[in-house]
Amino acid sequence: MNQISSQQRKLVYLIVIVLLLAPIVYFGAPGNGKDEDSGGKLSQLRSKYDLGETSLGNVDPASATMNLVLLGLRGIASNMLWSEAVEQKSQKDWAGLRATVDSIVLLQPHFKQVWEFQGWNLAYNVSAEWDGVADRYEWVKEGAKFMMKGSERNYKYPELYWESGRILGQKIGRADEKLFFRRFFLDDPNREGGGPDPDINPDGKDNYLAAKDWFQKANDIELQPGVTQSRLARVLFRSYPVRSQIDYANTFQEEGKFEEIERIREAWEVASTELRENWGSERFMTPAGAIVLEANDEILEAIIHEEGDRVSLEQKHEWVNRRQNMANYRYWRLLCRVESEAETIEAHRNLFLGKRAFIDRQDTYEAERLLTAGMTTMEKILGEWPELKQEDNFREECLKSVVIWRGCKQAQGEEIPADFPLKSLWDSYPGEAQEYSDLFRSLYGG
Amino acid sequence: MSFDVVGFNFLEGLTHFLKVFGGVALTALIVSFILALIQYGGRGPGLYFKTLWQALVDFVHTSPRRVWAITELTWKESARKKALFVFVVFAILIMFAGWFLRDSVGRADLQLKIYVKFVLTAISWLTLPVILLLSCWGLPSDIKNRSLHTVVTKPIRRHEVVLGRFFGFTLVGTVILLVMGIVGYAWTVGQMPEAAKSELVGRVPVYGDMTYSNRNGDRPNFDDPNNLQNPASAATNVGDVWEFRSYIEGGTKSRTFYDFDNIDVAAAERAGQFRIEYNFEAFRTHKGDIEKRLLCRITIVNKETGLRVPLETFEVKEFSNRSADKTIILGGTDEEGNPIETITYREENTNEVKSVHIFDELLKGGDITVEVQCLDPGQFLGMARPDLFIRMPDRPFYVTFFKAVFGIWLQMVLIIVLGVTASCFVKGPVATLLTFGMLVIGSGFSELMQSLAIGTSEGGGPFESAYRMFMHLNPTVSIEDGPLKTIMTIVDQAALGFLWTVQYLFPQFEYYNMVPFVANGFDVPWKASLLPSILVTLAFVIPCLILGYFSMQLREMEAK
Repeated sequence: MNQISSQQRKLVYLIVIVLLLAPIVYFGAPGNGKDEDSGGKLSQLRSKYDLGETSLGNVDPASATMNLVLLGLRGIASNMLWSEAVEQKSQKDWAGLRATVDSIVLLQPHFKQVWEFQGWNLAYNVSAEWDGVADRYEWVKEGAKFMMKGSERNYKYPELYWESGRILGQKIGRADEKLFFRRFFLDDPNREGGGPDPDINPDGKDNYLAAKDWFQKANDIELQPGVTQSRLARVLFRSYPVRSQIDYANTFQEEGKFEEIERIREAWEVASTELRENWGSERFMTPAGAIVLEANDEILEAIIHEEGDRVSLEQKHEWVNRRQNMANYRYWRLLCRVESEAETIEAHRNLFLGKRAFIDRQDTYEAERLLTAGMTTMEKILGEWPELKQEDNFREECLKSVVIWRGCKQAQGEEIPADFPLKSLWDSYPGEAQEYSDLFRSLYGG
Repeated sequence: MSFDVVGFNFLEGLTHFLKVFGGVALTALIVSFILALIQYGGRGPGLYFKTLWQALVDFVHTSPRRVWAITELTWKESARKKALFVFVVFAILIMFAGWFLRDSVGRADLQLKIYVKFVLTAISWLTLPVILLLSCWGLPSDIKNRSLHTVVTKPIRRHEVVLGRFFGFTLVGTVILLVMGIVGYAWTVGQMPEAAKSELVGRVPVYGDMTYSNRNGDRPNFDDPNNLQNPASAATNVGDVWEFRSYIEGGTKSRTFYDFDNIDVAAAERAGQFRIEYNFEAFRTHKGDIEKRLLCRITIVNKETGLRVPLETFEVKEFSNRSADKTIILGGTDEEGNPIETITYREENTNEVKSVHIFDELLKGGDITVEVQCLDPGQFLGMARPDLFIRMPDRPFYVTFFKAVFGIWLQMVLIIVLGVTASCFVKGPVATLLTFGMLVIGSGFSELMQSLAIGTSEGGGPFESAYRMFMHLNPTVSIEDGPLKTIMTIVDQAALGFLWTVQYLFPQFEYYNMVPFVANGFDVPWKASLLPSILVTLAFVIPCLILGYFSMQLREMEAK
């Protein structure tokens, strides 16, 4: 039988509890969040090795509570939610899918693939299911917001920042509905009073410039110690802010906004500078040590010297060349340089206006005049930079202009002269010339 | 979300119940007679009939006062077991639910679904396990503690103990459910954003029969008994993995016909409006004009007079969660509040503008057909039977909410009945497992069990399945003929025959799930959901009471 009374026993329990609590408090006391040395031993170790949840990203109290409440059943619960999400997607229960996805991220806030997969799912797959363009845009926004929320929760995944940029840049800027989406990005139809949605475009920027900011954030994160990305080869991953700037500069020409020539020039000049000074001057590791894309002998020799003269200059050049090919660096550099010339902008403008004069107003004389002017300038540019012939978009624009110009001549009952601007390009690519001529005939006869 | 509402045939259900009940009762009577003969020899039949007679006497002389005494005792016991602590858990859930659910979609119109699902699921998940444990452990712990000895020595009949337990636990459950239901309702209504308050209704749909015509306008005649065609065969399958909807081609004579008979025109007239709600899906084969949604037209045809009234064309707002986006209203009131009773339309052949009285002419007789066509050539419009319905005057939200709570109550009563009955002849843990097993099978496996029992599932019965697993054969691979196959088939037939016999002894719990109706803003239908739930509960209460009585009557009260 017990020698001590019930009250004494409880007292003993209490003392034991207090004794056991003491080391827990000593080791586990939370830090103040600022100094590494604050708090108990565990807290200090946590901040030293970056193991705390706060070091991964913002902590969502709901998520933390949910995981606590589920005890060890988090895995089972998230599995069930994943299969529910698949089921809801196939049965087109979009509201349910969105709610389920939200629950999944409560359970797995630091699981990168959830954010990547479901963000993509919402922005690309779900949006495509809807018939109304405004509805589709709403889901693209949902995807973008989801991805941005993911990046807030996870400071150490540059991929999530990159994906946010990709949705803003490429989904909004390159989808079939890009004309609408780009407009909606500045003036949201689902928002009372219009204007940009502050959640995805707080500064009311062009979508490519907003995307550029996100790509830049991804690059900044990627530079942090201990952070890597597994999305793309590094040389490509780091090109995206510049590529967004190029996309932005391109929109003026694509959308025929030639009234602000100075802005177009500025956009291309920014692209050109950033390309050479940011992306081009960054160091990338190769088997032959570090290289830069914008390389000359002087820079490379300095790097070789820094690295202890282990590789030759030829080897460095060899690897610079390989990386430039991989990233198509020389092409982008050339494009930025050519496009920032006032002459090129003028040529694009003439070709665009000539095309519109033919298609919209059937004014063959005006079209011919503008196209001839544009084609002549283009011929001159090609003479100066023959590498541009290899560039698909540039070639397509030139060849299509020739086709329309020939159409104008035919419509006027004139013979096509034996020599005309861009003839050498026309003769060099007979297959494409034929393809565009057939397309022209199918659309406009002749 | 769409769900097909299939009516419940009461007479068929009753016949089925009588067959199963009669069969089981007869088997029990015969088996017990034989047992009595074996155990007591010549005295057996006498004892047998005496017991049956006694049962009849007992049931007739049921004393409500004594039953109430046991009910009160059960209530006190449950309170002492701290069953009501479940309120604390519920309160905590409700307090913090807002964290998880508020604005989780960012769109006010989707909140109803999330709130309702949360509240009703929380109520049933909290209540049912508590009630299951209470009802399964009540009698066994009484027997173990010998407190039942003091009860049975009183002038009380055994079935009154069982009845008292039923009512006692039901009372506990009812109080818990009532409080949770009221709090849950107030919370749901309170949490709903102002912009979405209009979604808090119980829509009353009337569904029609659906048929299609193909692109040439040919419509299969289903009145012809020789026509064995599938109603969807005239429509197009666009290759969607979810084969719920069939599609009609735009810009052709392809149509969907929804036939409605005996619509309550008077009710619509009293409400001053006639509403049709649709939920179609667009499928594009080419980009078309992406600025516009697909164009659609609905024509109402009076079957009695042949009057055809094409309504205004409209763009299909697919997947919209706002019912206002998808409702066509005929009638209503004009800007000055005067009732609109006529509708103006263009005659199909002559294009002449005409006017017709909605209730006296267009809906005269109550038999109408609603024809749906897609007007965009090359595009397709998908629809299923529940995708178009006539929306009768709405019921208030609390009606449909509390109908769903009533559904949980019925489920709870069924669990109490099963639990108490099981605890009459087995101990607490076994009773718990048995009841829980019935709950799991009844709610998740009834379809599988039925497909096994009627032999439609691939891969054979248990032995064939085991053989296939062992030999790594998938269910579609045929097994070679031979003695092994014959043996397996025979053994499997015995097992599946047993399953066929007992399949109806598991209640179908899916009837009780009324949450989807409430969550989607529908009234819980009487015929398709409430009636079957009530009948399923009743169908188990009566046999369980009888089984409970005999178990208690014949049970040795000494704790073992």
